[in-house]
Amino acid sequence: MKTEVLKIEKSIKAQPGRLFKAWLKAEDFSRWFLPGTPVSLGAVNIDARPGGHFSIEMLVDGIIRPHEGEYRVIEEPNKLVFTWRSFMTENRDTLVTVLFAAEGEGTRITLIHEQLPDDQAIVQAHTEGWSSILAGLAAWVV
Amino acid sequence: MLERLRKRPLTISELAQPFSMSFAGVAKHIDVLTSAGLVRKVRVAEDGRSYRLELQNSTLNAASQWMEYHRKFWLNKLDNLEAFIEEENHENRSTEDRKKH
Repeated sequence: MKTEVLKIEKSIKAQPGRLFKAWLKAEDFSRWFLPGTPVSLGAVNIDARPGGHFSIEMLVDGIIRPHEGEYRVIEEPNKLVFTWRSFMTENRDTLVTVLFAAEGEGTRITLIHEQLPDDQAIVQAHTEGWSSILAGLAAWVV
Repeated sequence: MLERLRKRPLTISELAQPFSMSFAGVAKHIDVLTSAGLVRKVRVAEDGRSYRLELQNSTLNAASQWMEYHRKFWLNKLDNLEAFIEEENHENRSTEDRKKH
């Protein structure tokens, strides 16, 4: 079964603890997550505890889109896991894991965004449908 | 072929061109793609008889679109995070400089 998992890595010159806090302190989070968004538009609410909710109002192509979720794991300063739901996930819960690993004087951030089982079935249906069409198309083009 | 449709809607002739295929041959495959919901026929406003083919993003790209969108999304956020840290470092340095003077 094909699972949709997105993995991104980035090194930043700052201690893990400092980066970790930037994710959970609403004031800091707004500054980097919603840069250039007028304060009147970008509302950020963060209840930073396991089971706590967050909501972020993001301006996407001139439309205010809510992005919401729930914190699942908060292990300062190394691991943060939360659910993530937006118009781009069709308002279904997905899961985001952010790992902060000390690397020299900086931090290696690994972000993993994955779909949850219900969604995987949907994506799989789409992918399989598309793969068989592609196979047919490949045969045809050759 | 679908890559080309991703850029803009095309007529059957335009689509067939680089593949040196017959109009009928392409039309047959277009029917398959249309019935699978991958492409959609859109009438050309100028003449009302011919039509162009348009990619149906919702079905075709459900998986890849999700990945592409979120890859860009998170890369952009992590770049912002880096910029934020640098900005903060800069602010702190400025404050220290002011203290020294």
